[in-house]
Amino acid sequence: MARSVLVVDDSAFMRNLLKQLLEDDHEVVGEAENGVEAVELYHELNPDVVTMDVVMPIRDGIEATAEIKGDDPDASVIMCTSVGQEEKMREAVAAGADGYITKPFQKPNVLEAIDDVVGVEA
Amino acid sequence: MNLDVESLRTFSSLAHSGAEEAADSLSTLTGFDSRVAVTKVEMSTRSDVEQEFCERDLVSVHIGFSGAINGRTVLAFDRDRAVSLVDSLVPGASDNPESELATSGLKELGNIMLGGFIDGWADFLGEAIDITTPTYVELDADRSLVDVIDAGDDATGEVPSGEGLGGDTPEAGASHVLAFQNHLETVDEEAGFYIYMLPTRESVGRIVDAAGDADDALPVETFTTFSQMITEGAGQASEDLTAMTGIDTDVDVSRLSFVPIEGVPMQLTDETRRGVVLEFTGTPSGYIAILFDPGSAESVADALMPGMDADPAMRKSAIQEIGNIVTSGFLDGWADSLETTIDISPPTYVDDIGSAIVDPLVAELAQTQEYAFLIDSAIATPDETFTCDIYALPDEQELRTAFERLAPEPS
Repeated sequence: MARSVLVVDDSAFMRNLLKQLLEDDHEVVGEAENGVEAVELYHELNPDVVTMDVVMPIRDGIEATAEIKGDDPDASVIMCTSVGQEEKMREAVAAGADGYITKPFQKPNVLEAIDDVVGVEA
Repeated sequence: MNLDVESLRTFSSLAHSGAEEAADSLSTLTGFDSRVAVTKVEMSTRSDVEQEFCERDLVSVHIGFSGAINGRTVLAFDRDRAVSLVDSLVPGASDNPESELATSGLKELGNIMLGGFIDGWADFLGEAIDITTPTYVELDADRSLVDVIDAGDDATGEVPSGEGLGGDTPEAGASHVLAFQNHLETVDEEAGFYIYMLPTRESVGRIVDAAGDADDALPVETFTTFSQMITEGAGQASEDLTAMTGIDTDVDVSRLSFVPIEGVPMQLTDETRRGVVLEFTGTPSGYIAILFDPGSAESVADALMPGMDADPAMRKSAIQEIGNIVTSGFLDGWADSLETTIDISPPTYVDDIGSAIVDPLVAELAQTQEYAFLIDSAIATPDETFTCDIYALPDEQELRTAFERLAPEPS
């Protein structure tokens, strides 16, 4: 089942790449390039899943995740980041992240992470 | 054996003074107007030393030293440069540069330059250091500096095989090296001369005792453990780069060195580089630059956007993203080993000559430190048509704190 996805990454290239990876299976309903925009767009679009970068200007992805999950505990947020440090992963989980995938990733990794977080429905 | 930052400063200062003496000798003997471009203390592995001169066609003069400290020094220069040196030392001998007359001229040059280099260390220690007669050795792809030293066939007989690479026996600590490298260059040409000093492990300890701050000292294994972390980080960065672009890369060079802060830009090329600069914060904090030669930067963008006629802004974004990923691959292992987190800033795109890219970073660090630990790694394809250089400049004090975390518990 196609899910609505909000893609959050400060890199235009990475947002573009994620859109391409997801376009056959899901619908990218919005893009944000920092944590502030992510929170605003989440409330505006109410997506099924958020793919969230960690390192971003203005507001990072862990803070944005904490706010989104604070406002909506049912939100599904997958960290999509190049940062693979164990402590960072723990911080992300503490902030409420439901999944964590590290760049470089390939299409199956992203689709599997979405399935894991929101479940596969017929 | 313990090592401290004060000792590293002393090492660097002595090596630089010695190299200046050698440069003066070179100018006097040959008329070449030379100067010391870079002096650095390198904490390397044997393979790094081997890599340093690998694939280059060099001639070298080796001299062993013993007494207050033991080890060997090597003066190396490109073969073309050797011919012009022979011409100035022994007019006419360059017609047959491998003749005994020509090589004896080079040996004498090495004798004088390396002898001057060693004198400063003897003066500092207040004891005599004897040197052997010079030996002329050709180095090439089939015969590296490490091969020569391991074989003990450079006739610097006082130094047993293996000692010059950091251990007092071939086994003890021989996988890691504390090397003092000086790069001399002439005013008119970039091609230069290299002076390597490879003291024995015991000799490094002797200098530390004379120069160091015992309260600040850490086991030398701490530094080598960190060197290993750098190598592993570079390996991860290479894997990530390959996974992302499909370009089959490997780690070419990876090393930790200690350099005067003003010498850092001279470690980078004066050719154009494109890539990213990021600030990292934590223990340690500092700056990191991921730099591609222009052709490799284009290859990265092409590989990430195959068949796409992407606009320049998107290509720039792709390079920023790969810089981001390479940085994380490089630093994540450090963070995990140190049981801490290292935050990285969003990447800033850079396109300038290499040395100019790091100038502002050096200016920032120079506010608080006179020397820098420079971490540099090179990732490349086997044919080196694709290269990516990683330079990290951690805050000296914070790296010192990180070293403390790596230090083995006293038994």
